[in-house]
Amino acid sequence: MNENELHAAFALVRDGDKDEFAHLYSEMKTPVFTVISRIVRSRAMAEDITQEVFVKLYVSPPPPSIKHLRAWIFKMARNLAIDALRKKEAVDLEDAQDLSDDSGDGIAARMDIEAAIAALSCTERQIVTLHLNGGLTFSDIAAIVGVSLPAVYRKYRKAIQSLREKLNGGFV
Amino acid sequence: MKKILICTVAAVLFAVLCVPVFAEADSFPTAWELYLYWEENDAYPAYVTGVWTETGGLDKLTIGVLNTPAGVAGKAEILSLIENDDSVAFGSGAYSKKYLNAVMEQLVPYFESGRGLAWGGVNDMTGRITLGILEDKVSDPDTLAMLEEMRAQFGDVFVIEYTGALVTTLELPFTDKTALALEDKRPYFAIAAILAFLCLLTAVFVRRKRHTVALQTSTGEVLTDAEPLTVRQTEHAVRQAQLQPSAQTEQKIFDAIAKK
Repeated sequence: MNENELHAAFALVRDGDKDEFAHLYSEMKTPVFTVISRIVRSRAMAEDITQEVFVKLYVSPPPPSIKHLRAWIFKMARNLAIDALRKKEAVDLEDAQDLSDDSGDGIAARMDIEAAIAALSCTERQIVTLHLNGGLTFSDIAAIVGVSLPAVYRKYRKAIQSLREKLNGGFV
Repeated sequence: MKKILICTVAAVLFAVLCVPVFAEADSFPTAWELYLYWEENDAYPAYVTGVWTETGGLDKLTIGVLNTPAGVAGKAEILSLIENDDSVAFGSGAYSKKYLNAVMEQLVPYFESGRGLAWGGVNDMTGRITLGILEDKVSDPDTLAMLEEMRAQFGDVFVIEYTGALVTTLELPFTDKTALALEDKRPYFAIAAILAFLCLLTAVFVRRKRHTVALQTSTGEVLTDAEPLTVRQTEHAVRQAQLQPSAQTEQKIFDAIAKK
């Protein structure tokens, strides 16, 4: 959903339109859940936080004065995920591997993107997933994560390079 | 006492005035980050004519700058913005990328006119706009008239491509006779194109000899068969490997909302 579509959707949701909310949910559930999952690295936690995000979006939808609704949604999702992480700092690589569908039987070697992402630092994970899955600009991400724009670029490049190396089995 | 007070005031003033300046001057680690910044914020400086890679990787980007004193000053500015000078090389181009993007926007009526203009785009490596002319319209008087209009309006900003040949608008034939003379040269372009194709085939063959594992996303999409992932493929893989909340979560959300 682009910004205009989000503004139109929330205008209806603010009036209690449940059908429009269902439409909004179907459009946003995947990127929101992906971003949250990659921050907390636990499917169970991600399910709970996703539920909290969408219920909040319905009960207290963003006011019309918010210009960048997409960034606003992901900022809320990210903040709830970070809060949850602080409360329960845990989750090892096994949990992270649970995040991907394990349907790769018969394939000689299967790329485990989630495991590779899980090996990044928390800030790198946020930057990568907010950009690639959330569709946010680096400027928005800098504001959300609270680091300078050049630092976001630097960390993103480092993270992509690291993912490349891991996914290529150390060969680039 | 007076001296101490003056020094203190001077130090405070220095700190207040200088700190924001230093904060603004935050540099970019490599040319790649600077390029991303320009792209995302549509912030290409007027002296930049384009950005491309000649190494096939992102570790070293070539930045084209104008062949003018502004371009020379621009090189120094770019080097001052980048921490790793080895991450950048410089090329040159005829026109500013900013200007070429603006010209592209003015070409829309020509694209819609049906006068033989098939496609067009800013070519970073030449610092010009490449226009594709339909082959059967190359010597069409109306197409030539259109190109003449464009030349009158924008000068030699364009290079024209048909059957692989590149000529600037200044070199274009505006009479049927000259157009025919150019057509006679086409076999040479065809030979050059075949040679280029053979080189490409060889390059592809050589690359495929580098065996790595087959890679697939969690959704089953095969990304590569026998080659290492590129940066773009890595980004694509992360983008595609999305995760879905369970049906139970969805049910809980809509149950909670139904009670509101």
